[in-house]
Formats: sequence, structure tokens, C-alpha cells
Amino acid sequence: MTPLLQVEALTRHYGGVRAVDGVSFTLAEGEVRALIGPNGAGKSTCFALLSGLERPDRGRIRFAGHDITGLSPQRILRLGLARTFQIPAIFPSLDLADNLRVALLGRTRRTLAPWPPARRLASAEIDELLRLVGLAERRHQPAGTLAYGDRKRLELAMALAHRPRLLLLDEPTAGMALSERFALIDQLLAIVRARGLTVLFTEHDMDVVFRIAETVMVMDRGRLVAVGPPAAIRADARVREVYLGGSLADEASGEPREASS
Amino acid sequence: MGFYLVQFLTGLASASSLFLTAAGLTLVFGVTRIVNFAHGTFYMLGAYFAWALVMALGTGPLGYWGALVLAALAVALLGVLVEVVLLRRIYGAPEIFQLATTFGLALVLADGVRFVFGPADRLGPRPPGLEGAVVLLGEPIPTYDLFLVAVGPLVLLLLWLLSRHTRLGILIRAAAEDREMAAALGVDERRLFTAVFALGAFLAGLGGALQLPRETLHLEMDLEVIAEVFVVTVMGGMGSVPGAFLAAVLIRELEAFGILLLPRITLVLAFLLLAAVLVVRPQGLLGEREGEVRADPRLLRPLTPMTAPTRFLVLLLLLALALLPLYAPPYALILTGDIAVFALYAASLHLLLAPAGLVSFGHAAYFGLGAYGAALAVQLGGFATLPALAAGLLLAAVGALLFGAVARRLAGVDFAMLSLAFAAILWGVAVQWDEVTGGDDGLLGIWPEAWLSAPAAWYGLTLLLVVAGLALLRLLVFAPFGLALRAVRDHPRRAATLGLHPERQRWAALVVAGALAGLAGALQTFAKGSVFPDVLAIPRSVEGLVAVLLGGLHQLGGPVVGAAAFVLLEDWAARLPWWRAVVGGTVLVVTVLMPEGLMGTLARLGRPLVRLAREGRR
Amino acid sequence: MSAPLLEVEDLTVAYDGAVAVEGVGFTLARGRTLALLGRNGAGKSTTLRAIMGLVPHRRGRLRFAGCDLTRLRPHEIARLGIGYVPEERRIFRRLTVLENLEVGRRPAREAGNPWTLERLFALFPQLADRRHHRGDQLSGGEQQMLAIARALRGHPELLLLDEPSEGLAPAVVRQLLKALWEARRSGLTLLLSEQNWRFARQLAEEACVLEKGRVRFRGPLAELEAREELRRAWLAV
Repeated sequence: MTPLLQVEALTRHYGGVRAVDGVSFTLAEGEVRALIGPNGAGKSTCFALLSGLERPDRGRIRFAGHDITGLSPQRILRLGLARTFQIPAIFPSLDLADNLRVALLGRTRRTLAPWPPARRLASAEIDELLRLVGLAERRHQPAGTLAYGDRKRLELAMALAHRPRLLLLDEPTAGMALSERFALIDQLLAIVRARGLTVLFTEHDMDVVFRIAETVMVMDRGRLVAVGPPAAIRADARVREVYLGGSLADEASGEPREASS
Repeated sequence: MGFYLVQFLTGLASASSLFLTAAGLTLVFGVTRIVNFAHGTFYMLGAYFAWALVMALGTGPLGYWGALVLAALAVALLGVLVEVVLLRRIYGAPEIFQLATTFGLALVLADGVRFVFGPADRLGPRPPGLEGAVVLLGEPIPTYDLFLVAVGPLVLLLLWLLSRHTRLGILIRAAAEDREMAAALGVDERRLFTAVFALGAFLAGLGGALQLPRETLHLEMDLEVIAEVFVVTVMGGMGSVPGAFLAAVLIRELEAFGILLLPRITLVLAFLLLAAVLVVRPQGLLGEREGEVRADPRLLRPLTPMTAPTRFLVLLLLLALALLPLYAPPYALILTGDIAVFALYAASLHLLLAPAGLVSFGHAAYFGLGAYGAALAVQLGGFATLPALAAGLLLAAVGALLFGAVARRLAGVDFAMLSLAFAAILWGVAVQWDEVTGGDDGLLGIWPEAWLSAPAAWYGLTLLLVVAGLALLRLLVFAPFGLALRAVRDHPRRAATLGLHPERQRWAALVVAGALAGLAGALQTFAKGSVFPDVLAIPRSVEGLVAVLLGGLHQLGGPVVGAAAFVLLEDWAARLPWWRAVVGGTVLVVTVLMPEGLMGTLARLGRPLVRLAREGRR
Repeated sequence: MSAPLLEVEDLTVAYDGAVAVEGVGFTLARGRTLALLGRNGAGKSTTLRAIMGLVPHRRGRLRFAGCDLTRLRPHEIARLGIGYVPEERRIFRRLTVLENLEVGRRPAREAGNPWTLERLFALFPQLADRRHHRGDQLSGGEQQMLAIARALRGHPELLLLDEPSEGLAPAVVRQLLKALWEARRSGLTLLLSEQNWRFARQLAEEACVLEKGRVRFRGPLAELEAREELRRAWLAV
């Protein structure tokens, strides 16, 4: 079976900095995979390239049988690739139901319709989505008044409104309280399994990563340095280097550490 | 050959003053992120100060040249005062308030000039030593023009030296790039801003002073120059001084040669050039690409449908208005009709300002297109009244469609400046193209047909169309169209990743707003029986903005309430000699002290009362 | 013992409803080096930004050399003698190396050895070669050196370094370490945030580990060194 997503030699430079440098991987349908790495490793740029917000300098992206390299975000979305953002991207002045309504308008391409009033549209589907992420009680609250964690939930529901096949989640639990994180992650896993979704996510909370990822990819300075099951990644020497700076020789010569003690 | 050379040099000469003024605006914007509307007033003040000082110091070389420099310094000093007293209060405010505040300031200062110097035009004396003309290849050119040809590049060079080789210049560039980082390195933003603002005002003042021997001084100089300066700064790239130079030269040369080929549409050429530049480089000739422009989060407020009691009150008011001819004198009908027309105009602007998040400073463009469209349909096409109203609406919609084609990629201050320039250019066309528009004399005798000519009949039609227009706007805001529009305003990137098309959505809103503003303009033509270029002029654009801000940006009813308050204020103030200062002062008070507007302030003051009432009931 | 140079007490910062840092406190004596450790999003950068006055804090007390920083604006804090090297360096990209250094220049303090251009170029010889290059022509490592040199040009007593080793190749990191050792030898106090444990342990005597906005560990770095299980829990994968 051909993979759902195929990325080949993806590269993006900013000035002299290679944010993403020759990244290749494939993702099979139904897989849940984590993309981890220190700050500035290129994870967010990678997501921007996959979702069409940035164009790659080199490389190809194939998704569900289509070449989506350089397509607009709207086209990519229609093919079934939806995403969330690291800082939850919602519409603060709209209430929760309207936030989801916007997502549905995008799907049905009715954004210029003058009639009927928006609030009569698709209420049942919206309620179901809100229930799915546990926000049904707040459907009439402006999204800007939501707590951080709830914004993340709302964003997830907005991405799901498009019935995507592949979901890119940029740090789904960042900024959330510890107790909330696992609740969200468990919800997410249930949805993913129920709908047979494929997920690629970045995350800094290793507890979250190892709880849900079937495979983990590690990025450092724009390159993929390791791919494998969680246990192997934990044991991988290169990964330890990336996170702990092992490549810096311990006995780096010169300065006695006790200099000022 | 000689003729073309002289034409070229004249273009360069008039580019100099424009460049100086634009350089000041762009420098100030680069560091403070404020587009200073009163910059044109600084230019005018420079010219008037120079005139007064020359009169005082005499026309000897020292007196004359000393006067020019002293005039610019005086403007710089005034700039410091303005910065410290006024601008410091609004650095953190949303753009729309910053722009409106500086516009209010421009109105107040303009009346100050009128008060001090009087309304008569002034002509400056010729500069000592440069009175004559030089003959080049058989053609004469004023020596002073040759001097100006040198001034532009010289000032560019001096500014370049300042920015590269002085600490102040380096700090200015650093702060323009990353204010926060500069502050974290010990740079005192406040003092730097004052210094930059003074420098910007100095350049505008010098730009005005240098025009003294070339131009008759008059009280509309400020608005004339600001529109051109906006075109130049946007074309050159916001914040880029060399870009401003390049754009000023391009525009002036285009005018110098365009006038030979197409004397009637030099202004349109300038706009077309700008459009071409922006299509290729949205950031302007030498501008740096900015990140995504997002609406100010403080302006993102939820819209609430009317409550039952409000709906009842509105119906009651409509009923009272519909029955007005039965109990009110004719003058009240006319005034109420004016308010209705203005309310439609303000409400159409509100669609752009609030749900679309587009700061339009040139809404008069559509009002004026509608007004002229209806008038021309009657005069040239022999249209009946209702089809003429439709023609006005349509022409305005087409204007919005064309402007949107250029401006849909812009947002924030770029959009604001370009919209103002667009309206200013249409104004120029209306003034210049007198075979069709009648020029300054306007088009007269455009009255409604017989069956509509009674005051009550016209009032009835006006009320009907205005209410229909307002209802349509309201419907659209709550429709999928308006929902998508608000989403695009709130977060364009998110909207795009949900399958929406931010540019298209804004463009559609622009066409709707333009069409309804056009209807308002067309109605006004018939109400007044005439149309003059002032329907397209900058004050008309700003009046709409003031009405919206006065009523309250965050309520759909705001523009209607604001329009009523504004028309009544103007009706009263028009009898005063200083009505501009009254209007400008109102803008200052509203934007600085009452940013929620009348409706918002009422709602805020009303809240404790409602709470009290509720508690009392318990 | 003399009063500490920097005192942070009960610092709490929230952005947009999300608490980034909660109840963080530590002190730093003159001439010492403290490393704020933790993963991304743990609150390290926010702590440094709050000290610099770049984000308002909801609660807490910040004192530097006896001065209360709470109500000061960033440039006033900088002028008290705190240098700041931000995350992602934030050098002025359109300014040359020399111009970047000029922005950071402050009058020299009476005591101590001022950071002249010669001294800075001796510390970072690559910068001397590229003094007329624009910021955006520099490599990542050169940008980091410039960011440090620019902060030193204000002759600070305390230098805040936000993830100085981030995204840099090991050879560059080693060079950076040497320069920082050198700077510290002249009496500079350092407060750095790091994810990179090996880098931090080469430089700091004291450690403060943040996780999810709270302090998990505070004490001598040697203690953290001795307890691998702590490091694994808070820092590693």
C-alpha cells in the first residue's frame, strides 16, 4: 500500500539559515507519529511547508496520491490535510459555535452567502463537534474568553470539522495544566481511533509523546536525526546528544570549573 | 530637445519638496509605526512660517535663507510639543485611533493657520540671487528650480550620512527594526521617538518652506500634499527614505511628461503607476516585506443580535420617522433626510472598519462616485430618478471592485493610506475633467422627477432606501458572508487553513460597502440638486470615520447614532467660523478620551444602572 | 555574605490566560553563574524576559544591586547594568556588526575593565573580520557571538543569556564557552537559560530547574550532576 504522506528531501532556507534541510519520511494511513527536537530544530517550519503556508525551496510532498508541493493552504486542506497551531489559532470575537461554523463554511465554500443567517446553519454537526472535545456547554461563549487549554480543544474541533485524513498538531498540549493534558490526549486518541485518522504531532511533553506516539522522529538543526519506536528513541545515543548536548566534549579543555567557587 | 530637458528638470525640482515631506513621514513611521496625518499640516506650516519670517527678516540673502531654515526649525519645535503632549498617549492605541487622532490634530492646526494668517492666498517673494532664469538648449528654466533639483539629492545624502554615520541614525534604524531589543540594550525609546518626530516635522516644514517662491500659499495645501505624500511613501515602501526619493521622482516625472500627452489624467497615471508597483512588489519599491498584518486584538469584539426591547425601540423609532412628514416642519424633513443619507454612508464604512477590520480613509471615493454617477446618468444619459440612483450605486461598486483589485493584498496602514490616495485622485479627476464633471463649478439642476419632488415624497424614498440599505448590511454581517469576514479579520492565517480566502472575502466586503456608500452619494445628489468635487474630498472621508468612532466602533447601531450626532454637530458648528477646529477637537476628544464612542460609553455608564435596577427589584 | 546581586522572589507571569511562570524564586551572588534548566516551554525565557522588564509580571519581586526593578522600563533596567542576549539572538539584521555594537554601547563604569571594541574582537576574532558585514549575512554562530558582544558593549555586571547554544554546531558551542569563561573571569555574573545540560554544566555553579513554569530543583549544580534520575526526569527525553 502506498503511504498517505510522502516527503522527499524537503528543504527551506531563511537567509543563511537552513530551517529544514533535506527532510524525507513517509507516513502510513492510521499512524500516530511524534516529531520532536529542541527549539529551532525546524519542526514548525516543517508543518508550515506541509500545510502550504510556506513554499519549500526544494523537495516534494505527496499526499493521498496528489503532489501537494507548493499548493495553497486551501487546496491542501480540501485534499484532507488539516492542522492546528502551536499558539492556538482561533477567532476570538466569535463564539465557539461560530468558530466551528467558519470551519464548516470553509468546507462547503459558502463564505459569500448572504442567506440564511449563519446561526441557522449546521447546528447539529457543530454540537457534535463541541461534544467531542468537551466544550458543548460553552457554545455561546466568545472564544477569546476561553482558557488556554480550551482554546486548544476548540482548535482541534475546528480541524476535525473538515473531516481530514491527516491531522498535523503543533504542540497540542503546550501551555496546558498537567491534569488537563492527559485528558485532552485521551480524548484525542479516542477520536483518532474512532475515525481512523493519521496524526503527526510535535510536542515537548515527553510523557505525552510516549503515551500516544507509535513512532517518534527527532529533528535537530533542520535535519531528521532519528526515526523509530519510542523505546528505541529513548535509548538512541544521537537523540541523547541532541537533547543533552552530548557532542560537546565533557572534558572541553581550558577552564577549571571551580574558578569562582 | 531643450523643451524635454527643461520638462525633466522641472519634474526633478518639484520632486524635491515632495521627497522631503515624504521622507519625514516615512522616517516617523519607520520608528513609531504611526502614520501622521498632520504631516501635511506641518508642510503647510513650514510654508506659512517661512512667508511670515521673510516678511519680518527682509528679503536680503541672510534674511531669506535664514527664514526658510528658521521656519523648518519652528515646525520641528511644534512637532516636539505635539509628540510629547498628544502622540505619547496613543502609541499603544489601535491604528484606526492613531490615524483619526492625527487627523483631528490636522483639522485643529489648519484652523489655527486660518486664524493666524487669514484665508487670503499668499505669494512668497523670489529668493535673492536666484530670481532669474537660465536658458538651456534654448529653453528658459527658473534658476530656483535648478537649485531645487540639487536640494533633493543633497537632503537624501545628508539623511544617508545621518543614518549611517551618527549614533542617532544607527539607533533610529535599530529601533525601526526591533524596538524591544533596542530598549533592552538601554535605548530610551521615548527620547528617540521625540527626536525622530522632530526630524520628521523639520523635513516637512522645510519641504513647505522651499515651495515658498514656487507656489501660492493657501489653506488647502495640507490635504493636497498629504495625499501625494501617501502615494509616494506607499510606492517607495513604508519606512524607506531612498524609496521615497525614487517614488517622488517617478511621480513628478510622470506628471511632467504625462501632462504633454494626457493633460486630463495625470493624476490617474500616478495611481496606475502605484497600482503596477504594488502588484509586482506589495511592499513598495524599496520596502522590506512585513509579516502578516493582523487586526489589533482589542478591536476584536463579539457582535450581539438585538435584544427584544432594543428591537421594539428601533421599530418605534422607524415608525416615528416614517410618520415625520405628518407632524414636522419641512426643515426637519431635510435635516432628517441628511442624517439618513449620512447614516447609510457611515454604516457602509463601518462594514469595512469593524467586521472587515480594514481601516479605510477614502470612503468618500464611493460616496462621490455614487453622487457623480447619478448626476451624470441624468445629465448625459437622460435617466429617470430611480435608474439614476441605480447607476450611482453601480459606478461606486465598480470603483470598489477596481480599487480592491489593487488593495486586497494590503492591510493595516498601507490600506488606509492607499484608500485615501484613491479618493484624492478621484477628487483630482472631478476637479480637472471639467467637460464632464463641470470641474469646481460642479453639476447643477439634478432634481428628482415630478412624482418625487415634494419634500415628503423624497424624504419617504430616502428613508425607504436607507432603511433597506441598513437592513441589508445587518443581514450580511450575521450571514455566512459576515461570519467569514469576521473570521478573516480575527485570524487570516487560521482562516486560510480552514479553506477561506481572506483576500476574496475582503474584496467582496469592499464592493458591498462601496455600492451602499454610492447609493448614499446618489441620494445626496438629488437631495441637493447638485454635486461638487467636495463629495470626493478628504474631509468627506474623515467625516464618515468620525461618525463611526463617535457613535461607537463596536456596535452595529454606532454609525447611525454617530451620524445623527455628527450631522447635528456640524449643522450647529457650520455657523461658527472655526467649525474645522470644532470637528477636529471632537475627534481628538473621542479618540483619546472616549474610544468606545457614544454607544459604548452609554453602555458602560448604563451597566451600573441596570445592575442597580436589578438589585433594587430583588 | 554580601547581599546577592539579583533576587527573584515569587515571580508569576501569565500570557493571554496561560500561566507561563508561577512562583519562581532564586538569588544570584556577584560573580557566580546560575543556569535555568528545563525543556521548551518550561518558563526559562519568560523568567529572563520578566527580569528585563519585557513582559509584565502578575506577582513577585525583582531586585538587582539593591534596586527594585518592578516599575522600571527595559532601557532603565539595561542601564542599571544588565545585559540581555535573547533567544534567537535578535541581532539587527540590516545593521552591520559595528553598528550592532554601537547600539549596545553605554558609557563605561568607573570600576572594572571596560569592553572596548578591541577587547570584544579579541574575544570573538571572527567578528573582527566581518565588522562591516550586515547582520543577516552572518552565520548562526556569528550572530550569537555578536549578540553577546553587543550586550557586553554596555559593560554589564549581569549578563542574561537565553539559550545561547541553541541550534549551534558543537565546534561553535565550544568557542562560545571559551568566550564566556573569559568574560566571567573579569567578574561578570551570568544567568543563563539552557536546555543543553552539557553546555550548562561547563559554565554554571548553580542550577535552577524549571518544569511547566515551576521550580523543581534549586541548588548547586554539582548536586544535579550527581543525580542522574533528576536530570532524566526534567531535562532528557
